Amino acid sequence: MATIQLNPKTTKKIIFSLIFLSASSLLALMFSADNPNEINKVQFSLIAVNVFSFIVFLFLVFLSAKKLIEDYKQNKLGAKLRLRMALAFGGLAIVPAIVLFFFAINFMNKGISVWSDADVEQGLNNALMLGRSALDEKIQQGLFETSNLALGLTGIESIDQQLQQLVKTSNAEQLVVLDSDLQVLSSSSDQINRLNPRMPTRLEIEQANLKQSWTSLDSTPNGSYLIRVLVPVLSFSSNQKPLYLQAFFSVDPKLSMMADSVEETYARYGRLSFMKTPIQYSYVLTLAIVVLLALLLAIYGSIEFAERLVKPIEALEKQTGPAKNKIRLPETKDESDEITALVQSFIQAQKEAAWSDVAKRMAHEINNPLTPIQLSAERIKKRYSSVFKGEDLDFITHSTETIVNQVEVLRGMVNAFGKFAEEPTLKIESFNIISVIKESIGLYSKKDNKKIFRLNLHSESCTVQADEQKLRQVFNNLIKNALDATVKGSSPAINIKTNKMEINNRPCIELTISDNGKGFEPNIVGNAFEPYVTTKTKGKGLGLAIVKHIIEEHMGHIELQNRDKQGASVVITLPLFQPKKG
Amino acid sequence: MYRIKTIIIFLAANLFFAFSTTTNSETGKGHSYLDTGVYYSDIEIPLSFEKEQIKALESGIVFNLELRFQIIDVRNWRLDRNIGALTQIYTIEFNAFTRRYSVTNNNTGWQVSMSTINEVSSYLSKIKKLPLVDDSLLSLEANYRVFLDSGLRARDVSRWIKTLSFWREGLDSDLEQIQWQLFN
Repeated sequence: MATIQLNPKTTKKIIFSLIFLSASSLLALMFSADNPNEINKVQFSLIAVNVFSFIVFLFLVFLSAKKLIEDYKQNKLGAKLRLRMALAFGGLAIVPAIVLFFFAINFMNKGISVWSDADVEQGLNNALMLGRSALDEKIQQGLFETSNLALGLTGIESIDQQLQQLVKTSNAEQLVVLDSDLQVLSSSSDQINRLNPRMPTRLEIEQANLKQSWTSLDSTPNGSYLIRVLVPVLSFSSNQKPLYLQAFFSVDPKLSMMADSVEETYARYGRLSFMKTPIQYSYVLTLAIVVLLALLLAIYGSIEFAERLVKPIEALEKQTGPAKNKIRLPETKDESDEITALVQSFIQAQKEAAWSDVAKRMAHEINNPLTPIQLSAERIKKRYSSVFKGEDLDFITHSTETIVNQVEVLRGMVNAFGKFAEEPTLKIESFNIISVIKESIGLYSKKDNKKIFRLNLHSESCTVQADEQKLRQVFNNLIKNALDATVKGSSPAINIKTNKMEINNRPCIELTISDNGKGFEPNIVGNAFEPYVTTKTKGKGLGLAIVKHIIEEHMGHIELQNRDKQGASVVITLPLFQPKKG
Repeated sequence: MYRIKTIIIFLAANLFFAFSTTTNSETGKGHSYLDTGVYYSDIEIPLSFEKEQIKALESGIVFNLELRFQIIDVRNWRLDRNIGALTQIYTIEFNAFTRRYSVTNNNTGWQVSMSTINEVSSYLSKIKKLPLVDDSLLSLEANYRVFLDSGLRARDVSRWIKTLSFWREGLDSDLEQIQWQLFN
């Protein structure tokens, strides 16, 4: 599966842009918070900006967390420390943010609840009632006056003149006579629309018939109020259709203004009360997005911060060896203390480097005088073999041969040191490792010890990518060691077992060589891989050190242990495939 | 023979869908007539206010009744042509002081006042003599159809707040589209 990897610079740009975008939108939201209607208008776009930021952050956090968890699963050095630090930093940010969120919501809800306070609502209702009561008297006056005016109408013939006359002598602003079909028969004003008069509705006509009058208080678009009175004109009873007189009375402008103000406040209060819950939801949602954004930022920051903190340690670890691809067996390392593991790894690397350096110097310094010593010994033998005879000749011959032989031994030791100090130069090729193991066993199998070797191979064929010659050297060395350990035993046995397994999703082969010899001495087990550590009288102490060196060059792992009952075992874990260089 | 059968089935299906459309528009109706060079329309729409809309009105929220007319030249074998569009808006508001509803025609400024929401519904359900299009813009040979989309909208309440009022039946409501022939 292809993994998405963002360029760190691009990621940084994205993050800063998002922080800027979110901060600006939140500031805009904060400054528009005085007017809920204004919030409503901008809310959608601001929320959209923040939701977008949230999604992008979520994606970035997901990528970072995925990488961190993958590293942790692969048991990469520093991954556990990074995860712990990320969890610690993230936790430090998350807990207070959540607490703050719930407190903020609680306070906000309390604040919004004040909007629709029962006392305020009652007060506004009372103000409306008071205003209406103040106008009730005027309405009653208008009704009394209109009823009298209706009684004063004498006939339909001169109705226009009568209305003109009546409007002048009364407090009415306008008088209109209309029939039950709402047809205007006459009006005191030439411009019927002057006061934007309301024509009565059929329901109002019905009410006027039923109750002999109908009054209403009408608002006008300019904010003033009009009293409208509708009464039947009983004096025109001879007419087929019933007629009605509608009179308009103006309200005192001061009273109108106050009534309008009360109505406006009441309406604003009503709107806020009606929208209270959605506004509450809106605030909660906004706050939730802000908190989530902050949390995501904190989590992302904690992951990045932890990675930056651990980076120098990883760099140090890389310097101590090819750890990047080295197989790490979970049980072999105390994961609870990666720093300790790193320190041990560092000390080991330092030791190896020191030994390598010593080996190089020794090889160089010892190798130089060896050739003249050997040549001198051979020259002495040649010159005096014709001069001396008998015992003297034997002495000269024996002595010079001893010198030459010991020089050869020294040369072998120097070569071994030289090989140990060599830089890793692997010649990687694919081959069947089972065959190589068998060939190594065959090399040490004689008629009298054939039964010593007991094989338990998982398969007859297992292809690995490795340096065949170097691995052959490893197997030869280990089998020879096992043979040496068991040579004095009564019923010597060497078990060779292979097993195929997966470590951190990498296919590996595990080779166990165990013997029933006397095992390692307790003081040797811990540092048997260190150069010049040996219990053999003729050993150079470099065999296991070179074996370990080769196995680690192959990104593998080697460990040795004494068996419970008797003997020792060496376990090698080797990856089947070598990572590509670069 | 097979081809004729296919054509008949195709025509029958079209006819069925044409009738289906007519059936849908039965909920409202409209007709247009010519008066002094201008085509006017009388419409009847099944307008009724939802409970939440009445509650919102009484809480001081203003509603708009939007009537969107479109005159389309329906052409055979060619794409239809849009001749013109007209939007008529009526504002409905409740005055808590007078306890009356006022309906204002935003296009003319004419305002009426009513004491009950039923009166408002009845008043707005039957609208007469709405000027639609000038006769001089039309061609007698064309087949014009008038489409009316109408709906009630809570004014000054953002979409965001409407979305968050999800438990309400809906502050906005749309009526079914009605259509009729411009020429009788």
